[in-house]
Amino acid sequence: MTDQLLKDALDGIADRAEPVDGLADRALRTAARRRRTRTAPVRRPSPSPSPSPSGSSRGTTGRSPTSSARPGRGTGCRRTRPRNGRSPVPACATGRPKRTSGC
Amino acid sequence: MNREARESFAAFVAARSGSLIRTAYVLAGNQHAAEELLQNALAKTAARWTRVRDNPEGYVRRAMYNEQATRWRRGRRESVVAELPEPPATGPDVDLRVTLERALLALPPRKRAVLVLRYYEDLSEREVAAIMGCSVGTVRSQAHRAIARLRELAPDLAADLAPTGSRS
Repeated sequence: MTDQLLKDALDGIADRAEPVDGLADRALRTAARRRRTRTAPVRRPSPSPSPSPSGSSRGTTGRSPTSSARPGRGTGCRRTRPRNGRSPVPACATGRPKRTSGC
Repeated sequence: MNREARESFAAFVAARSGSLIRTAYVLAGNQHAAEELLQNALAKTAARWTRVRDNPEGYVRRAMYNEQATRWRRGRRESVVAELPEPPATGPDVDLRVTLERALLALPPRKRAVLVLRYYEDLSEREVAAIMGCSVGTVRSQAHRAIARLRELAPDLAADLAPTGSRS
């Protein structure tokens, strides 16, 4: 009883579906677009210094060139979030025990 | 994809799209979502056509169920609402069936997918578990909960909707 009831009801829902034209063409176009996206070359930043006004080799935010000399810079450690107005200081520069290796 | 493969893919879609859109509609619950679901599944099939052309329909159906499960996991599930959605058409002789259809459409997609696989596709619990990537026990419990939810949503049919026996 339950099986037949559910089957009939599901058939009734399926009957509301309307045929769709051009499915194959759209699917082929979508597949081709996804393939192009997947195989597109990744654009990497140029290794040569960019002529940015700040002089930074990254050429992004106008950060002063000396900012890269701060402790922890470029070593892979995360800076702590500034709290109570204090400047952000990386955990590796505070003398506290390190939680993770890498600094 | 070469020309011959394109033609065979187009022929497959032309031959089976009627059946596939029906399944997609039962899974998704409305025409727009069903078209999107089927479109994505067909795009995946087209990308792997040379490998799946032996049994493309099975691949498309599995892709649709997986896509539906992914939507469910991402939280794009439909919310179960107090008011059931209005049916597009009703008639005096189909009241009970319409009530059940409305209740089915109000089910969360995963529960509905289990019922679709079990009762619309007529698959065994083992086959449903293989498609949905879960255990037979999970299929059984999902089907049981889905029918329990249907009884709540359609109290008029509670007596007719008895717990189903297992068919592994």
